[in-house]
Amino acid sequence: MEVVTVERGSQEALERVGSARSGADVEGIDASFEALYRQRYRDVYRYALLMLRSAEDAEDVTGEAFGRAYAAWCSGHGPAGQALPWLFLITRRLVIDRTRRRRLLSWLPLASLHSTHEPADDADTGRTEFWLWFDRFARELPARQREVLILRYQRDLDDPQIGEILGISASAVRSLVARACATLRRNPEIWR
Amino acid sequence: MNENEMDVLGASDDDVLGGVRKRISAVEPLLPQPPAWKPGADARATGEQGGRVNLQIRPAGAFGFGGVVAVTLVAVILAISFGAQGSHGTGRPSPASATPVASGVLPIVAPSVVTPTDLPTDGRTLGNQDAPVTLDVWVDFRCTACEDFNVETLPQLIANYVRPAKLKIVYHDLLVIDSQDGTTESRDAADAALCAADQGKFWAYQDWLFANQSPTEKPGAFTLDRLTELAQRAGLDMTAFEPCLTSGKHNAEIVAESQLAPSSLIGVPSFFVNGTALGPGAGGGVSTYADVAAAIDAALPKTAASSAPPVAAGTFLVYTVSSKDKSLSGIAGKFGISLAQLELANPLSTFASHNYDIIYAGMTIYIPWQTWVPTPPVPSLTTSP
Repeated sequence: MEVVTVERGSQEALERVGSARSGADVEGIDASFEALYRQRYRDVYRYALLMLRSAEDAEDVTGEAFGRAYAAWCSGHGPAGQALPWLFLITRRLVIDRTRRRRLLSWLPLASLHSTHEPADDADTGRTEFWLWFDRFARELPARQREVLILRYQRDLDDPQIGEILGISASAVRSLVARACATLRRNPEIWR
Repeated sequence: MNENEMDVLGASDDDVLGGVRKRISAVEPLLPQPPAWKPGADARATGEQGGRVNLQIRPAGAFGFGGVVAVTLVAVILAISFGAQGSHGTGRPSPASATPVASGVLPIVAPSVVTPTDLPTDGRTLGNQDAPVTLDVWVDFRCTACEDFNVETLPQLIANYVRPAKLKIVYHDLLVIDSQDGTTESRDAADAALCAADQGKFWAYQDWLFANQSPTEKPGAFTLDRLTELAQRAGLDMTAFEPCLTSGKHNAEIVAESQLAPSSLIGVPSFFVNGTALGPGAGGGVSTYADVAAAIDAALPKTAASSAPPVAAGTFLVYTVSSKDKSLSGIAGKFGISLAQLELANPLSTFASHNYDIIYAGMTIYIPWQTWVPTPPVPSLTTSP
């Protein structure tokens, strides 16, 4: 595995990441990426799960997102600033890819999710309740407003960072949030 | 407006957002712990596979097309392939289980979508034999658009039509790509699938076939060695499979079926609903789930909706779901009946449009009497286990 890593990242790229010259430094890169992976796996998975509403897809996308992030990380194309917005940006592209591929351009109503995606056997009350609520939530809010609230759930993302992920300005993020709130205020059962 | 409503409308954005955050936080128990990090295993910088071939067109003349129709055919073909552009734009994400391989060797990947194994099957037929609608699907295992159908549309058809016993799906072989590159890989794959069918595992095996076809439809994906390896991975009985494949046991019938295919077939995947050809989809390309579903709905007996679930007292057991019940299939299993039988006996609303996850304690489910009464009364009904 180390051989693969060295091949993938050029010497110059490795230097950019952290003055890496030896195999030991490559291991250092691996260790720091692994720390990021452990710290952020659930955050990325949660985002993918809420966007795709399928545990199976969320797992795939999360794995692929970290795979790509790792390749970029090793080749010196790691995050310019904070790692989290960068990870979400990678994940978001994969989510959109997958959404298009499945022709779920707008969110499917919960009813059309089929049992092969959500195996019936591990259904439990909390899970069912959550998805019932989420279905309601998803039906009331347009996709972008929904996504902005999902990203807002991540407390360590600020509005400029959310804007970066969505490709819009921070004020556009705030306006989406305000519109979402206005919609939700009329549907108190969703948030009370 | 009462005080409560005033309260709601006067809520601040922070109240609303706080409430939403609290509700979203219920997702936390659903998040898994990160699997062990394996650098390289998933770092596939070269995951994109470029454009897809959207619809495989049967070569004009191959199966008795005359020169006269060729011009019209070309026009139709162009319309179909252009119309399909864009609907498949992105490359297929590589399955998570892809393993790095030496150059020139295709990795074996596990199917990302698996055909449920709890449905009645008979060879290449999936679903209840008595289903009122039959969907005939013509495929070539090397055709990427067929794989799209298999991954995207088939699961929805299964959940919404096959499981409720409204539809049976029958696969047929139309060898299209072999004649384009002079190999026999489409035929060999079809043969392997029929060898799997001999063991009652056609559906499991075809999942593996589609998952491991060549993304560019180039030869090499379905060599006999690889077909054998796929069979191993799919859990087939190899002592029966290997001689079947190497002897080309089903080759003749596959070629015959392909050549005797309805002449209206110009490509794969193609669909017939109760024998009526389903034209290209709304966008001009391969029929989407919506296209196929609409045709099935139109073919379903009109009286079905009103006559299906008259729940008459005395012929059904009224079962109240307890908090111990995890799923409808669990309940069906408890009474030794199939989900389809359970579904036929209940109003559609019971099943929340076939989302089998949604059951709750106190919910009423009708168990069809005739299915469980011949066996000794189920003790767990009155005396809880």
